[in-house]
Amino acid sequence: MLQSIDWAKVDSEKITNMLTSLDEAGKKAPPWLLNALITSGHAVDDAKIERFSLPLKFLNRLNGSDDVDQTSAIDVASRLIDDKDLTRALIKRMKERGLAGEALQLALTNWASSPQLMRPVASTLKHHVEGLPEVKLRVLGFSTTHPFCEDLAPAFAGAGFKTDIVEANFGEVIPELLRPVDGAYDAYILLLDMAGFHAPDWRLETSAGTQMLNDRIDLIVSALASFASQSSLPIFINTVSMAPTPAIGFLDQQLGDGSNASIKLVNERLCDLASQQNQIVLIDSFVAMNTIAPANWSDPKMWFYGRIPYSADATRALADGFARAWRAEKKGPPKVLAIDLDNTMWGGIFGEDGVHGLQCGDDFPGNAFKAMQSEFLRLKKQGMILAILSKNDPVAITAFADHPGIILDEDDFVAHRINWTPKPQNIRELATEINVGLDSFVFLDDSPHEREAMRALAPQVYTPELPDAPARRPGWLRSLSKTWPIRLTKEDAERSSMYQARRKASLMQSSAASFEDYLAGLEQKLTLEEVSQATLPRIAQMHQKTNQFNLTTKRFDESDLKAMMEDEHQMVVLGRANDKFGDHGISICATIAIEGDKAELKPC
Amino acid sequence: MSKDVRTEVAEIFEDVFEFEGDLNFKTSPDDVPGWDSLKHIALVPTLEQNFDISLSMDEMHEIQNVGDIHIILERHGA
Repeated sequence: MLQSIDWAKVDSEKITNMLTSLDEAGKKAPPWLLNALITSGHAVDDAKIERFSLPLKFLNRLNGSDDVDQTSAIDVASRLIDDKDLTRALIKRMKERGLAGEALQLALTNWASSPQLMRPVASTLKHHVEGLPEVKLRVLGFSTTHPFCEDLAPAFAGAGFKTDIVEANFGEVIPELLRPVDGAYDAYILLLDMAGFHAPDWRLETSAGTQMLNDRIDLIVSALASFASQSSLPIFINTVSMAPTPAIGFLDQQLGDGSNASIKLVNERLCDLASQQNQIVLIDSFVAMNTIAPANWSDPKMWFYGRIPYSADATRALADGFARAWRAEKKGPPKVLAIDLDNTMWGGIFGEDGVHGLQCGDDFPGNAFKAMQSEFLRLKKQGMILAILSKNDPVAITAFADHPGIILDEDDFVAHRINWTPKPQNIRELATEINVGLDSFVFLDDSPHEREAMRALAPQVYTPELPDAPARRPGWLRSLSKTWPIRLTKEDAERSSMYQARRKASLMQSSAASFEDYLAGLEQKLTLEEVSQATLPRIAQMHQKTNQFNLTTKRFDESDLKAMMEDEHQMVVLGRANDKFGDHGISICATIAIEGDKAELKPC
Repeated sequence: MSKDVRTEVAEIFEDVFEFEGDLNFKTSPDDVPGWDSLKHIALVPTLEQNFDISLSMDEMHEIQNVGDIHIILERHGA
């Protein structure tokens, strides 16, 4: 019964009485009740909600009479919030408490999943976009583009741009591409769907159907090439999303006239073209729509009623994807990634755990940190500069050389500040040293306090919410769209296509080769070394964990192994395996008994 | 028909058609300048999203005035 009460209509005095009597009875108010109370506009004692999310805590503060701090408001406004009632309440209260700009930002951040949130801030939005740089867009499509065009305005506003949109006539793609108008626009947008390519004719032989599709792709690709040769404008095109309903069931990707075989072909040809023409920018539809279930990417009713290719949800997601790409085109990704050390770069605290107590390597939880370091290297390869920003003993830098699991080297970082100075001050020094603006920085830190301080004192720095769980961080960093480069330099692009060609060739060869050839081609290498203090924990762990390949029942622990290492008649060795696909780390270990000039490998 | 639903429909008309006049059950495309076939296409998903319902194709055609919208919403339990 309590759940169905509209708490907004209940007097705040009664609420206080209810919570007090719960306290007096020694009962804790259930979280759902506190949540409902805060969402409906009441303020509760801060101590009761210590474990709640920041947005809910912030709403509680807004509901109360305390002063609100703008830093938290900016932080909350940049978050995707699952709870729509909470988001709506936040927007309303932020507006009432004089935080109209932050309320609008929060609505824009969450617009793609719930467009209704824009309603209370519609007038603020109108005013806000007037101050933004304008982009003039010409929108083309083979199907109805109208709902998509309507969604471009809020999507681009979220990315920081005012739009002026001109929609081409229905279905007119080829004529538009062949006669581009340069002066009037900043960019072209082509909203693609399979309707532009293929109405499969099931009376045709498969080969004839595939030929027809190829002809159609040729037409569009040559029209795009013609556009690129006549115009200097960028053209943004979405790839065609895979079809959740196959035309040929199990065989859909194999046979030429399968829906997904056709889609793959279209996308491949588009990618080939985009890798040759810098002006052509592809938006991966699958990535843009990845929070929507594939079955909801289109709405058949809207397709048959008005040739609308994507559902309302999917249309907003795609509009958002185009807006992100435009932001990347205009502003480019940030130049510097400033990274904290303890519990961000590695697990554990250097000052307390010592170098060899730090978690980073092949086992949980260090493997999540190693994976994150690999993401840092990826960003470096894509042109970002890495820097260290840590409150730590300066000697912490030695961990990069001394810890066997850390894959980054000191040389990977262009600059570092490892000291006890506040980070906002340190980042300013880094900016001067590297000679870039503060707005070129992304700052990664596991501490909410450090992030808050950075947002407050150096708001130009982009300080995203790093997930608490290390395991979620590598995927999170990959999906951080502000770091996505829109194109790599020409040299990079050429290099990667060269690699691709070489890889294709090697695939062709290997398919013809035998299994023995394959093994020989792996270039497997085994390096043996004596177990050291640094590698001992891993070896002890292998002894405890491994069963399948441990043919004896012996289970040595760390102290057993240590004793053997110190015994002059015994030796403990390990082997690291690697092959051309990468490093597999420590894979084997063995103990050796030494008697005079005879050494015997002991099975274990 | 609850007052909340009427207010919600009025707000949707403001969103979709930028129409701020009074709505009654007889209000039809003739009375709302922006209510053409293209905008009708935008109206349907907006209704669906706001009331968390899914309309059939027949219902899309059934909507000739604001009263029809309310009949459909009531049928879906909104």
